[in-house]
Amino acid sequence: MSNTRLAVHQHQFEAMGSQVEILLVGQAGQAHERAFRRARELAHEWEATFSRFRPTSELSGLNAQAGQSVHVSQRLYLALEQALTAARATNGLFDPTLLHALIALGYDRTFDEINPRASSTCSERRDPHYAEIRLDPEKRSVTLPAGVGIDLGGIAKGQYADELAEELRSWPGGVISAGGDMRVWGVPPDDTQWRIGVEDPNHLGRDLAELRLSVGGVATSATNRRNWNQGSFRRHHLLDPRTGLPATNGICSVTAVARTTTAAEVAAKALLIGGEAVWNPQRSLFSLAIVVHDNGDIVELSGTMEILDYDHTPAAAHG
Amino acid sequence: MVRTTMTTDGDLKVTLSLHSPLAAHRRSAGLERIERDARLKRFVLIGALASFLSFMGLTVWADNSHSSPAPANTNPTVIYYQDGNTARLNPPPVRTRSS
Repeated sequence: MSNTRLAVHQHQFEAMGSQVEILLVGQAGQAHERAFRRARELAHEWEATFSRFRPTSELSGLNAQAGQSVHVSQRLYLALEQALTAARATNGLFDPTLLHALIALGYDRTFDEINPRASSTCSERRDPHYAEIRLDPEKRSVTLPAGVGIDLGGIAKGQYADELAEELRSWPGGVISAGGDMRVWGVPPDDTQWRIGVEDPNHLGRDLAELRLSVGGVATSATNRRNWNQGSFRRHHLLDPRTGLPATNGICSVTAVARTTTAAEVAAKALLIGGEAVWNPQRSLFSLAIVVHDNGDIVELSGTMEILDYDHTPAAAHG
Repeated sequence: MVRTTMTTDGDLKVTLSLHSPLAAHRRSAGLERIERDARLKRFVLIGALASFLSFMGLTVWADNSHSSPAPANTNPTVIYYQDGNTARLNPPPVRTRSS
């Protein structure tokens, strides 16, 4: 008789400028190498499509042709469609067109390579550009306004976690973390829910709380990572589209739980940039959020209805 | 037993058959024994099959009762740590942080 005891298989690797961690629940002897190999392959495909630091990526090609209609892969098309849906749902607090503002602030290379004394150019207040992006579903083409560049950094990691989770759905449970953005399903063998530590933004490496859930997406946006000095200014990568500068509203971290990792990522970023004032429990982006303020205060919010319900991931589509 | 029949040629044909009550009894007893043995074998086979199936069913039930995941709770909940004590004793296997 075969052993049907369940175990958690673990795997980690570096990709997309982050640590990818995978936990899969399966039989003790179940072959998991194929699933982990697929996770690495998909991460490479993601980098080849979405990396803004690779001149040969499909996104870099699109950015280089701003002002022209460009035929794109199904994967990039759907990712842009989701990003624009998110921008509209957040009234532009989530904005994928901040590439040039980020570069002007010094985030012009992978974070590990950033020069702490980067360009002194300052970003300026700007009008939103996402509404000017044209998508043509029939031709599967995208037209960016001239001079506009796309950065899908955070949301692309969420989309990766969502797609990989779809592919690994036959496993009875698992967690996929792409740099801390997670997709969860099923339960671990010895518990009724997955336990997820929530990093304390004021003490890196320590948790301030733990989340318990068995399905959905979790994402955190925080100013404590990916920050650098620009002259005498301390910068971080979460820009307020209304100013083109790093958000400064007294919030240093937001962790959001939603149906998908993509939706959680959008919710966390919009809440961190816009503050709790943008939260409407009847039209929420998330089911639960933990907001940590610079002064250490913690506020927990819960939403009754999520308005971002991505029922498909860039997934399915391999164009 | 003697049986006499006339052929189409007009000849008489006599058929003689011998019937021994003792031989018939022996033959009947032999058939009964074979049937009894066959019934016994059937019972043994059915019993063995039933036992095997019961054993398999019990084993599968026992395995499932030990290893099946508990029903999923879909509502997310949060436990806040006091001074990180809980985290140090039994840290969660994964951590969400800014990506």
